Amino acid sequence: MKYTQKDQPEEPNAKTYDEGNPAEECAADEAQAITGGSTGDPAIPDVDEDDDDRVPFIEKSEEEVIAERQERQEEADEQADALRKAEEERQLEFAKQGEEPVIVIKGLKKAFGEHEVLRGVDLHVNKGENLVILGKSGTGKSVLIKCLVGLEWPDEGEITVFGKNLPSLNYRELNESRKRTGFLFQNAALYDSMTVRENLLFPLRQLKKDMTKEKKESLIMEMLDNVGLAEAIDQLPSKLSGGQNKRIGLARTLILRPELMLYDEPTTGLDTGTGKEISELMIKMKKKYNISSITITHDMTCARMTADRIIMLREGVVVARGTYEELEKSDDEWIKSFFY
Amino acid sequence: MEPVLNRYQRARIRVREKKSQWKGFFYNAGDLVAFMGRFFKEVWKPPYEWREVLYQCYLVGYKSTFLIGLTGFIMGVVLTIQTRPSMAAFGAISLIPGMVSVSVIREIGPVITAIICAGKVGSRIGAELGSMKVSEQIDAMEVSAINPYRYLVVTRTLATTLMIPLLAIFADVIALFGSYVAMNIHDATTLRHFFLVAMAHLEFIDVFPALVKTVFFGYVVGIIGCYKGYNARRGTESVGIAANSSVVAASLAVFIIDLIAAQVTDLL
Repeated sequence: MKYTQKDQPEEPNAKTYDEGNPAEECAADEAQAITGGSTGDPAIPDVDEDDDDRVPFIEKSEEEVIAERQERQEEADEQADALRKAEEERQLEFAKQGEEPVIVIKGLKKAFGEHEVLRGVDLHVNKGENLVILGKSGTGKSVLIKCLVGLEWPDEGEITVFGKNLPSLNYRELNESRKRTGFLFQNAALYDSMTVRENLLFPLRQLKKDMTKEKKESLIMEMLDNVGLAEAIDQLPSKLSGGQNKRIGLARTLILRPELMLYDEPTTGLDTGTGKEISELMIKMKKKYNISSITITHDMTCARMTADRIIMLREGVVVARGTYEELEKSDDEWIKSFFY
Repeated sequence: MEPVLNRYQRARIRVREKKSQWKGFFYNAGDLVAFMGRFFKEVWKPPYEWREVLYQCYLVGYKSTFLIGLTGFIMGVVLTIQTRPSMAAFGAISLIPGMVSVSVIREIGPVITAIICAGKVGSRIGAELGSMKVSEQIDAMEVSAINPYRYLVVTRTLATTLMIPLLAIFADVIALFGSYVAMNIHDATTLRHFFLVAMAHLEFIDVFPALVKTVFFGYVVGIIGCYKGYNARRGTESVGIAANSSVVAASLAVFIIDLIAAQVTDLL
């Protein structure tokens, strides 16, 4: 006796099994499971190897969706090409003026599995300049700056920091570049088992072995004075507020006198007043130590106060560049949504 | 809306899951071996973090002495009380010190010490490093050009490798003392006589391999704790997972090493 799948019209290619041979049935099941063949049931979507376990029902046909996606992709690529050309022209201008950019990124691509986070980013940062990167969550802003210190590695593209292509450096050379770069993490990333003094002393003890104890002590005091938290020197980070932790994080980063600062959402999670204080501190430090920097933020007040230039990332592609004032006047609805 | 999956689709999902589980297992095993190997490369490189090593030795060694001592004492007492009736039946009560010393020094002392340390020290290391990973403290070291492996992993693993053998010796001595106390419940013997009899039954082959295997126990407890913490994923839940899996993996590794050590000792 033969049977077909229940509640299903007989089809010429419908699979049939001999009831009396379960081994054959199992083998057929397994073969189908491994080869990824169709289930033959029109009511049940076929599960592909790459698909999620749960497949949503969609109204548009597959062809329509693909065409729409291609169209969007082409538009985005055209826009990115135009901006890339503008970026190259801008770099040429600076090169003519004899200014060497601190960071030059060309065609940076990064994907996590199937998900492409960065899809060909080009940018540069000049000496003493603060470049603000704006974009919605999940557009690859943090990944971008993590690529600048070797916390993430790009899949494609060039990252030149202080004139050296980062992906081609060995560990020691990468560390030389890291010594000239400061990174302020979103949550400050203070060592919570150490006091504020020990947090600031730790990088000095590790990297400035020739420095005398007195010099280290005076440097710690100078940095804490800079951020206005000299009285917190013997406190543990857990006893300090979020804003104070950010300041200490900034002091710890600046104690190594970096030439380049990377700020990962420096004002996130802070009230407006404290956020402004941090922004002012960033400007003060930039002027005092002539630091170039990249700031990632969603905080438009911070962007307005600190940015020399802004770039906007959307789905891993730079979609707009300019000063705060230029972008504020943009007619693009998406860009406007950040400013108003 | 979730579609209802038929048995073919379910089978394919199961096969895919199995494939990814095995792939993940081999990937993790390879990663662990590379992580363990890196220790031998990094441990010789200056600068040496003596201050941190000493602090970790204090945490692993000194802070565990009470727990290890108490466990050792109970171990000695229980072993003596449990074996006494059988030994008395054979009229071999005078052999109890020798039997206890051989079993404690060869097997029970090192294994119990390693298991307690896997629970106490391994979980602490896993949770500490996991928390540092989640709060980006390890990344902060990395971007400051400080080698976090050398500062965090080498120091902690070195401390467990040095301290667990010492703790095992301490546990052995206390267990013998416990046995002496238990002996005096029914019989009367002096401490000197008890230890003389206990030592008379010990040979080089009982002591040396046991000491060597505690060094390996110390190494795996430290390195597995560090590996689990160092590779914690983002999120607070992963800290708990790191601590928990440190204990499970380190305990299992201790038993596997013990099995290998027993086989090797048997050949000698």
